[in-house]
Amino acid sequence: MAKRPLSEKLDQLVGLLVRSSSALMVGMFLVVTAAILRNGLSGLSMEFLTTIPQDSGRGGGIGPLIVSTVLVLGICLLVSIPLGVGTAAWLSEFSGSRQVVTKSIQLSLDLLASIPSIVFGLFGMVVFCQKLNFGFSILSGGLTLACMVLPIIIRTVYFGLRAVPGDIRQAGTALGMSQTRILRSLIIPTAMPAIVVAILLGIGRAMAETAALIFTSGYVMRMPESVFDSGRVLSVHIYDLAMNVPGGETNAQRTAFVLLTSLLVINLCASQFSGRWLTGRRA
Amino acid sequence: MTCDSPIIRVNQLEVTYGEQVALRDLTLEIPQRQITALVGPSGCGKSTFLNTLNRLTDLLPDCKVSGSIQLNDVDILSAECDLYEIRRRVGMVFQKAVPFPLSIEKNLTLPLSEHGLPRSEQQKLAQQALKDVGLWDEVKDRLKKPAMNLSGGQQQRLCIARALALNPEVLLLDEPCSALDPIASRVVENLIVSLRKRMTIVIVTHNLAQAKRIANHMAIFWIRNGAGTVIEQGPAAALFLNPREAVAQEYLSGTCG
Repeated sequence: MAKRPLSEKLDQLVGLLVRSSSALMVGMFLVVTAAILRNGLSGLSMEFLTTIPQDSGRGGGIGPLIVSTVLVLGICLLVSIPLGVGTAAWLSEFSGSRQVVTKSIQLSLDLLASIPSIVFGLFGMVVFCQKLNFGFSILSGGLTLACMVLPIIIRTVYFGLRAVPGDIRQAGTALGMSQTRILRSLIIPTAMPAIVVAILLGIGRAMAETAALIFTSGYVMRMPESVFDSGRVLSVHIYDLAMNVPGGETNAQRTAFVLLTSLLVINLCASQFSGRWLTGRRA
Repeated sequence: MTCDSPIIRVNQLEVTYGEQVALRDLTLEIPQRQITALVGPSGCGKSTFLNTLNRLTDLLPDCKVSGSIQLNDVDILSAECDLYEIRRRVGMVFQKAVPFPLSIEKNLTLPLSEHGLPRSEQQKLAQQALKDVGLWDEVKDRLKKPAMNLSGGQQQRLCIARALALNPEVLLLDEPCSALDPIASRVVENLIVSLRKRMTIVIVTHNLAQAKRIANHMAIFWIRNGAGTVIEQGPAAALFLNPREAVAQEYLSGTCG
């Protein structure tokens, strides 16, 4: 019984630590958002979103950059979603007893996920820009990003598929349904929320990326005419304005605001969706 | 003891999970269009045995099955047999109802479309199956609604309907009433009895009173030499009255197991 006061104190201490670290987290988020809100919101207009940049980005808008960003993102998702869902489906449903193969795929996914994005940038430059001869282009950038977000998508979809109760597979099999049919008609629809979350997470990761794109999709601020044109995405624009263009800070902040807002909306959608998934379907 | 006109003949069946032997030297005959109850304590391989009858054991990577299981003239365990056909002929219902996360109607039509039936046929069979299990009047106005919203007893009857829609020759039931309340359990039990005229039924149950009420034929599972096997089988009434084996006697009278 003598121990009780001590363990109570310990509880209080741990409680305090946990609370203050979460407060710190929220505080940091608020400070960053407030700074960008204060500086970015001023002068933000429809015109800024639609016109071309002028004077190295100090003036004008970010119209072409939004188009480039959407194109890079589109290519990234076009490649990474089918590949990611396919790999996850194989790992989860078809790999059977091939433990060695699945283990090595899981390990390589972990390693891929921890590679710094600048390394992906160099890889993309060598493989897509030079070896495959796509040059500095939106295509090269999108493909590089696809390599980067693949581990995230595979992981999230895989866990989504594994979370589908095994008795559904068993019941489907007992009714004489093929494995492909069970996957297509029962497991994928059940895991659809997880797949959507995976895609949203991938979008978030891809939109926030700078380093991997500097070497692959390039710097050009013109409106891209095809995916073989070089195109500057929003995050690269922010980096360039902040680092290389004296007097570009204001537009950098505005661009940051646009990027942050879109990311926030995407993440809110993701958490909304996953929340509904966890509470809604299993009732 | 043998029985008249068996539809399933199991001979020298052995099932292993990796190193562990789950069933050994199991020989059993299951009579046609009767209810065969499989009873015995937990962990002596009744569910494993049921899973071998429609090759669900294939789902387990380290599970090996040897011996023979004849369904009429087809050897279920042979590599050449058509698995999808076997599973259509031998339906199965599990302890826990597993409705698919789809609409009530889609739960029934999905397996039918998998077996290549045209859409009009699918709906007719689905409706008939729902009537067979006495669910039609309860759900006819909400066929497009999620099956997950049904009550436990309704879900289990839906699962039985889903198996019946494929018109199987044999229906395997793995403790179908154990997760249900007594009233829902009685409804399902009556349903099982009503199906006897149409098909062969093999039911695993821990409820000896239930076995006594519904079974025509019975097999008692027990652990022998570290593996499950059938120690006694025969007409249920005779077996309850006068089991030969001492352990079977104790088990059936409720003093062991």
